[in-house]
Amino acid sequence: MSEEYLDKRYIIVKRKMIATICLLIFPIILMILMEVITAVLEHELGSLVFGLRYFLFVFLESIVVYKLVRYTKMVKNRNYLRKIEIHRLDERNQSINLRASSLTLKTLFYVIVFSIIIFGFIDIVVFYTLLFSLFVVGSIYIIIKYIYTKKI
Amino acid sequence: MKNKISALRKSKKMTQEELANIVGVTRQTIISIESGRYVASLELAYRISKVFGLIIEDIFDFKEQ
Repeated sequence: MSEEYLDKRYIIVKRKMIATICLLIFPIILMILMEVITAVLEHELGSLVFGLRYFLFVFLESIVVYKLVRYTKMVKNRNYLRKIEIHRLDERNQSINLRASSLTLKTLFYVIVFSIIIFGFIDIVVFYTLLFSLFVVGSIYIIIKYIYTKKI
Repeated sequence: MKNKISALRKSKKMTQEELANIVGVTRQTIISIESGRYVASLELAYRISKVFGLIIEDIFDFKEQ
């Protein structure tokens, strides 16, 4: 791995650090805002939803903090940057990720479609939510596939 | 696909980690290629063959597939 390439990656990692800091702050602002809005409207969905949303919030923020620590280490330590880059560009890892993502997407598609059919008999709200989810996932897949078809 | 990487590497007294660092992959990838579980891309095969000063066909046996 050339030093020039590592210099380029160093700049990219620095940019990613800034983006990650924004990603760290944005959910906090959103959570405070939503808490204020729900308090004003006196709209509460119960303790289970309250617990779950804070669990997800902490989970999300933990991932972002982990990434931020990693990026900071990459910026400070060139050997660590090299190690991470080798791991990231490793073709076996890329192949594993590609296969795992592909299988996950196919499984997700079948699970959503099956759930839509089942909830078509049970609950109209869940039915339309799942249908919308399928539409969003399908649209993203088609758009990304189109972009890569043109690109490669 | 069979290959002679393990034998060539040992003849050069090179560890899997050292070879991995030279060609820019992880040690796990070298282990997988040597054991035949993973088939290297053309680019990686070229880089490996360059390390040993041979051509790709001398290291990788394409007939076996």
